[in-house]
Amino acid sequence: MDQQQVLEMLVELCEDEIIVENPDIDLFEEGLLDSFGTINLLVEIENRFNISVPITDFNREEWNTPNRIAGKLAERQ
Amino acid sequence: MIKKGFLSLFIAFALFTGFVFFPNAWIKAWISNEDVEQAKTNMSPLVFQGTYLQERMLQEPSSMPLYGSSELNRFDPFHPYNYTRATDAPYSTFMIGRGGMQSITHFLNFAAQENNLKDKKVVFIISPQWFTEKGMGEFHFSPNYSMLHAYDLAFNQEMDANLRKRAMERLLEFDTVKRDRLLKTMYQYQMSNGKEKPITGRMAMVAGRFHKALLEKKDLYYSLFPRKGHALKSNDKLIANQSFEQQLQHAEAYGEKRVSNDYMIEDRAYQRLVNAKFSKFKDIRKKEDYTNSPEYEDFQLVIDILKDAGAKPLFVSIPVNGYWYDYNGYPEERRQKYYDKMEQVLKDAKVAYVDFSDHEYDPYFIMDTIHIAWKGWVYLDQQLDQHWSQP
Amino acid sequence: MTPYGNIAFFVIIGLLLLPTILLGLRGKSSKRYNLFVSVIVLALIFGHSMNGTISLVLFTVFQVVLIVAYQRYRLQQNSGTIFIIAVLLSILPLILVKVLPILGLHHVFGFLGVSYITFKAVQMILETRDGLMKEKISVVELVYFLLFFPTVSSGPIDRWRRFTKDFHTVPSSEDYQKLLLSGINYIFVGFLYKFILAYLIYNYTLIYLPNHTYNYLTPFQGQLAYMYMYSFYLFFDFAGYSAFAVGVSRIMGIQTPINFNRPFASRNIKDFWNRWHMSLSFWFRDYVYMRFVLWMTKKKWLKNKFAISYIGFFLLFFLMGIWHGLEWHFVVYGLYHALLIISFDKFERWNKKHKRWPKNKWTHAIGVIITFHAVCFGFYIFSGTLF
Repeated sequence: MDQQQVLEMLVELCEDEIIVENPDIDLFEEGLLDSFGTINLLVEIENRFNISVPITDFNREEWNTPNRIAGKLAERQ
Repeated sequence: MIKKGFLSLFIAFALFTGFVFFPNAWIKAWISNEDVEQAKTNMSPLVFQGTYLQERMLQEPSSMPLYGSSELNRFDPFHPYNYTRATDAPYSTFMIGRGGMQSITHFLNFAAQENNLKDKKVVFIISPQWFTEKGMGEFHFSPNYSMLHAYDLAFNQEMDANLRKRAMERLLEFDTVKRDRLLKTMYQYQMSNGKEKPITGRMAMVAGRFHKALLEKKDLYYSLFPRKGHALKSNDKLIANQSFEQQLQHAEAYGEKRVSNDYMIEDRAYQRLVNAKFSKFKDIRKKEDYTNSPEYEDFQLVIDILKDAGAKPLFVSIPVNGYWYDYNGYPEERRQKYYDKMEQVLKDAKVAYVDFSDHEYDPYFIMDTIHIAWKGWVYLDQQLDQHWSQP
Repeated sequence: MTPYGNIAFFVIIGLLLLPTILLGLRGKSSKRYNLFVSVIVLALIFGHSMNGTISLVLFTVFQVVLIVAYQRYRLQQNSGTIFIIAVLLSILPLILVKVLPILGLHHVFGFLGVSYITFKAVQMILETRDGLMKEKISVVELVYFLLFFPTVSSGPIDRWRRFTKDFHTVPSSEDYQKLLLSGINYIFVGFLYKFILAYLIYNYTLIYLPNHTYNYLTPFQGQLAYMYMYSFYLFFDFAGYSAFAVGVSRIMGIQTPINFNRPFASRNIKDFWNRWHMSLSFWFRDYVYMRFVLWMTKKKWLKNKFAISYIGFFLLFFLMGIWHGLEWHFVVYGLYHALLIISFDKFERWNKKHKRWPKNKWTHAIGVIITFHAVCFGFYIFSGTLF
């Protein structure tokens, strides 16, 4: 898994290219991701990278930007 | 940043302490006679629930206050306040009462002013609609309840002990009082002469004294900035140098201009009834009966406290609007029973009273459904003059 | 004594917390002392009723045993059935408290704050299931968390992992000064909200509404005025209370999460639920909605993933509604909000395609206005005046 793959996944989920342009964008603040999107994200992460993130561990303050998500996932690999 | 934060905290604390410990005498010195004059007609609950401004008004030797409820703010040229000024009457008046103030509210206020009521002539207007089956309800009690007066009662040692006990028992029936654990404990302690809750009761009295001092301070600060007086709607030429009959004629003409319906209800009040769906009021009082009500006992407290204080009261029994009450399904015969009962109560109490109950269908005596005004005031004004001239 | 109910309560906790403050300002730990203060204040809050005290003690022991036992079990095994039984057991007391009165058994069991303690307890079981509770839990700390007195009666609902981190951190003198200052600030915001604004709204408007207006308002106007005034009252009263809880927590070194973030400025209904009674809505979001949707998605029972989400919303708001009480108006209130959220979600997705509703300050303002009125109507249902 690399940064690029994570960004691609997020672009597909959020249906917005802005993620590639600005990987430090706040996904929740901008309305790109909500609770429902989060679930899809967690399912996708499990499907694509085989990393299981418990919902309770997905803290919005720490998983709010594409870069941070990529970082968090790298930690768990 | 942090330093500034704490500094502002200390300043706030210092200011607060300063306000709390500011000497009462200095605040009182700042309250001018003009402030007191404003408070006579501002009809503010802060005045009704306070003590200081009322004390100043009562201490004026020529004042004769009117106690009552919502009729008191029906200002027009014939209103007693305007009347006494226009005719240069030897006395002046001020009003204590607003909607929802009933006997028990006035009792507490009288109790707090007992020292100032000795030999004082006062007028007390009794409203029939107080005497409902349930009497004073929480809904009317709580917005008119004065914590200051209630705390004062616990420290009132001049009042007849039995009367005080009766009043405390009654007050403890209201949620607003019951919820106040401190006050409740003090009342229980006082009612049992210190036998019940001897330790917590004594502690409550100490805490209560402190609390009462704070409430008095608050009353003084409110008294520093009284609300402006009410719009008086005075028109002296309808009153000054006019005979009683002429005044009645003016009042009738004044009312005629403002009423254009068969129920003899002032047009704006009538419009509100229409907006609220007029037909809803038909037979709304079918089951109402003002002869059986806990209010009678509350009213007895008023009679007794005024006697206890040595005041010289004039009680005024006013009627309701007969046309309207007929529509409400509260027939004349049943209403008459209330007026008779009220007269009996006043007779038994051996107090001065006037009974206006035969003015039920007198046009323009009542301005809307229950409030006297216009002609009603003219009749009352005449009675005020007479009461003042009594020895 | 009701927490934050009168000035005496503030004076008492103010005096009790003086040593906490002094220790904090010197950069020392006040952990032990705070535990002691908690016992005293809990006794003050619950002590007046024998029945309530016994209920509380039994309830707490029950929850603690359940949490510790489940955690021990989870370290070895992870059966779904045992997990579900543990969750059901944990919410059983709350269900009893809500259902028993309906069956005519009043005052058998029940005390202030039972639902808020339950939220914290269930959360522990769920996080244990997720494998996030690997360290041994200290019973004293767990009880302190469940019965943390500043939030015991009505929240905000804290999270264990966040709470325990604060509990074990001894802030430096400087950090504590910041905490203390913001704590005092919160308490004074609480005074403004609860004892000034909510008080005035209640005593000068609400007691005359909807139909004690002496006919100055038509019945319709009376209801309308009631709807808005009740909404403001609800906010200032509850946000004031929450501010007290947050403020006192901070003085004790615990950064309890805030409950309200200018909810009436929400630009849409989703935004509203991120700003109104946040600790509760986040709890339902994280522990009901998201779990449910994830579970349904993984099981693949429904093809349409949006349908799953909508069922999840209904579940969330239905539960949140009946949590307030088993009455029709609470159920309808919940369903009303579920409908609002779903409609907005549909609109949002439609707009993503068609781009008819641009993002600028005008649409923002219109959004705020619409949301405000929709939300007030929700509170009107909630108030129970409608039916």
